[in-house]
Amino acid sequence: MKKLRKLYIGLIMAFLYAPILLLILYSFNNSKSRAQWGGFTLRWYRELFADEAIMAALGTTLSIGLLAALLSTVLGTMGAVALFQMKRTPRKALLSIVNLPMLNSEVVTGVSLMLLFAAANIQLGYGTMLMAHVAFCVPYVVLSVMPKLRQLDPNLAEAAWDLGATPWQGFFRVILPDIMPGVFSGFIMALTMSIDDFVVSFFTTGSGVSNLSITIYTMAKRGISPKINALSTIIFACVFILLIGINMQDFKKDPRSKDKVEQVRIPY
Amino acid sequence: MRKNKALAVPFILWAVLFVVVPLAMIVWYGVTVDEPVPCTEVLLDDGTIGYELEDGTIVDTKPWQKKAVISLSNFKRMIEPTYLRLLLRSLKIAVITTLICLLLGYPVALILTGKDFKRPALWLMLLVLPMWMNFLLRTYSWMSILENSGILNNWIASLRDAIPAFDSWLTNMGVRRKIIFLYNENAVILGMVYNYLSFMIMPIYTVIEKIDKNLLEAAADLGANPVKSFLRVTLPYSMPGVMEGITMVFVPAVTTFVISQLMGGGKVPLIGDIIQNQFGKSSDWHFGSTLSLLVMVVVLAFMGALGHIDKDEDPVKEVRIL
Repeated sequence: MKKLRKLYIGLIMAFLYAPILLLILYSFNNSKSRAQWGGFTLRWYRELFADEAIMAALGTTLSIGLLAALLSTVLGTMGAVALFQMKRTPRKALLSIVNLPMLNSEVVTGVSLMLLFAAANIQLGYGTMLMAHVAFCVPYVVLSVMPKLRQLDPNLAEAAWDLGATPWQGFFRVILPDIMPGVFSGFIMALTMSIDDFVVSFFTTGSGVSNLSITIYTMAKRGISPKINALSTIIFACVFILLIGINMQDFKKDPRSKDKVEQVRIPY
Repeated sequence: MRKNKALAVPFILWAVLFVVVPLAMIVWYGVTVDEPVPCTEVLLDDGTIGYELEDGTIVDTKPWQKKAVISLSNFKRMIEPTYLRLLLRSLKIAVITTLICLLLGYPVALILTGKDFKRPALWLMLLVLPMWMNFLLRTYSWMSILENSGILNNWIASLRDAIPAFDSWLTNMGVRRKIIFLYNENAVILGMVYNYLSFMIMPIYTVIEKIDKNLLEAAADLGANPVKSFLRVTLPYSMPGVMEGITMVFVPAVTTFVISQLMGGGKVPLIGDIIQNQFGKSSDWHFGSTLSLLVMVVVLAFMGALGHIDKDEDPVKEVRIL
């Protein structure tokens, strides 16, 4: 039975990783065709960095990701604190608004933002894409900061204010450090969402600005360049090493026996 | 906590500007249609043709602006058989995808929370890791496995050449040399299951992991066999995770337009494809909005049926990735 269970997990892993391993393999393939193996090469890795279109798309993806994550983290954290201080009824109302983009499908979010920009007569491009990304990332930040606020000891901040701290000092010196883990995981989540996004970007960009997802989508019709495979392999390797590094401590222990470790939430 | 009202202002602005207003716009576009500005052709004194507007002014060129008029004609168009069939197909594919994800994913969550694996956190991370590779690229990679001269067909072909018995058996079964895997509903379902499986596993894992192990022990002490204690303890307690997982898979599955385009090769259009089309090539934003409204209603009805709405004040979705 135990072998059977391990075999099952193995099969699922094979299903999940087969296309990824194939992609990595193709990134070293000395042939443009997907059908044949033309020998090992690093050519695509060299050419990748000379490809201006891909590099521009990568730049857009990363800069929008970082900016959107940063802005939505600030906005979302402020929002979470504000929500926390509200009375029950307005909080409930506002929370259901916050949840809407998460309940809505991406298509609806993308389309609705596109209509908004069109109505406001804003030229679609980098700015609109950034605004759209901030718009759909905020709820994730709010939802990851809220639980931390609930765990907060309200007396601590009260004490700070009683001892003469200004409201902002109290916020920055007492509340913020305590909710920092939630803020951080909200940031990471927003970054992931933004970098991986295709649908919303597709509807809210224009005038030649495209991120990696859009570039890949456009390429998919003609055939994806092995350079993209090379780039994805690099990104995948970086994330893999980063995650292993962060979690080294975690993996050594059985999570059932240890104290609650800080959990990072991902949007799923 | 001392109140700091200033904090709420930018947040409420965001909520209104980027959530409420855009949705209101979809509703507005959905219930209106463009109508050309009414005008009549008139012969002008200099012999050219002009256009007289309703208010009597005469212009040289035909007015190109259109004005939005409230009309339910797009709702009528929406329930034409063409679009209803598309919606039904989207729903069918989404339901099948969700069921497959549940059947494949639940055991994964169950096994990983069991005692077989010493480092469940590592395995969980490995389950989520593929999501860090662009999903378009991963789907595209499936295409190179499944296409007519793809890897899978090549393997089967070489197996046939190597083992004549296998070849004749397949030939008798009526299987062609080149099996067509892509560009049909099954391929689209495969693509969706592949992309959304982790969405199902994560919430179920999180919930099962939190089940008090004493409950299972108590069940065992009271004479329940493993099957019974699964059915009576683990399964009912994991239902919130299952519901969450179903939502996380179903919603994107109903509305995707990328996977159906890639894996279906345009032969399996879904409702999402039609919406995308209305905002792209066909450029009928009004009808696109009507369809978006339809999708929203379907999704909300689905969540309502699952009992998702208003159950919890702050639904917090906690999942470990790291």
